[in-house]
Amino acid sequence: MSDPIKDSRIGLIRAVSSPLGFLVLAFLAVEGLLTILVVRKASNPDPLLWAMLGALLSLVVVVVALAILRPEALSGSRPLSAHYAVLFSDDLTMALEGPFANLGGVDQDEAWVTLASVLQETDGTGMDREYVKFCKAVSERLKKRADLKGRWRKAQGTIKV
Amino acid sequence: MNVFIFQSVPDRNDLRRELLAGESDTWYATRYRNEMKPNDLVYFWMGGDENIRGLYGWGTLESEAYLEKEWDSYGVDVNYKVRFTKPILAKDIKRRPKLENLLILRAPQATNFLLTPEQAADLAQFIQSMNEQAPNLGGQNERSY
Repeated sequence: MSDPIKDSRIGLIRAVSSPLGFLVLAFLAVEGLLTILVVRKASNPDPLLWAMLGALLSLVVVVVALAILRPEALSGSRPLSAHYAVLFSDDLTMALEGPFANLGGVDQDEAWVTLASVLQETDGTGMDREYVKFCKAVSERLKKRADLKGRWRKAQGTIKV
Repeated sequence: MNVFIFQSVPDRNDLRRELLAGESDTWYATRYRNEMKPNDLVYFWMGGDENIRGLYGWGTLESEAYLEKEWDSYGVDVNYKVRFTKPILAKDIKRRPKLENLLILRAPQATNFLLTPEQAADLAQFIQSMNEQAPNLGGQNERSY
């Protein structure tokens, strides 16, 4: 036979799987404590009621601020750019360095530069900020891997021997 | 017929001085080599800061892409046909919805850019609206120059 108290605790622990869940749990705990205090100290409950209201408003402010500034913090996931950009750019390099090497010389450099530039300039209106950061991080990594610094400009314009 | 943009940078080719109507030159052909044919249209773009970055004129290809022994990549011969009285700046081109995604705006380091027929038509229209001589598009068809 299942223990209802144990089951409810397991359910509670499962619910706290993200920073947002933890914030809500902490809020409920504070509100619960304050409710008990209000009941016990019924003669002058005003400060406690204000404290409950303050806790609620604080939670709303914190959640809204996080949702705007660091939405990934609410779900507890790491930013895409930090986590996967290196892996993705290394995979791209591995897949493309063979075919690009066939181009040789300035054509090869330009192919890498074009790829890196397109990613670097990903910044369309309404585009997801995390995706833009991811693309820029991939671009930086590609430039580093392909060692492009100062090599690409020699093939622009007319051929001068 | 294809329409290209060829890009230079001021420290290699300053188009303000070097683009002279009637003159011919050989440009790098690092990309789209198989697409380049004589009489294709080419716009000439110079990179740099936003006050100089843009188109300075147009011309035609005079050859297919070819390789010479002492070159480090393929080249293609061009003939300059028109030099604009004022450059068509990138910052103005960007404002055109059909042109805002031009690859030259996103990957400004490359040399040869191929325009889609829609982009080519819109660019010619824009050039005309700036009171500069645009290539003849042959009515409404984007592919006949």
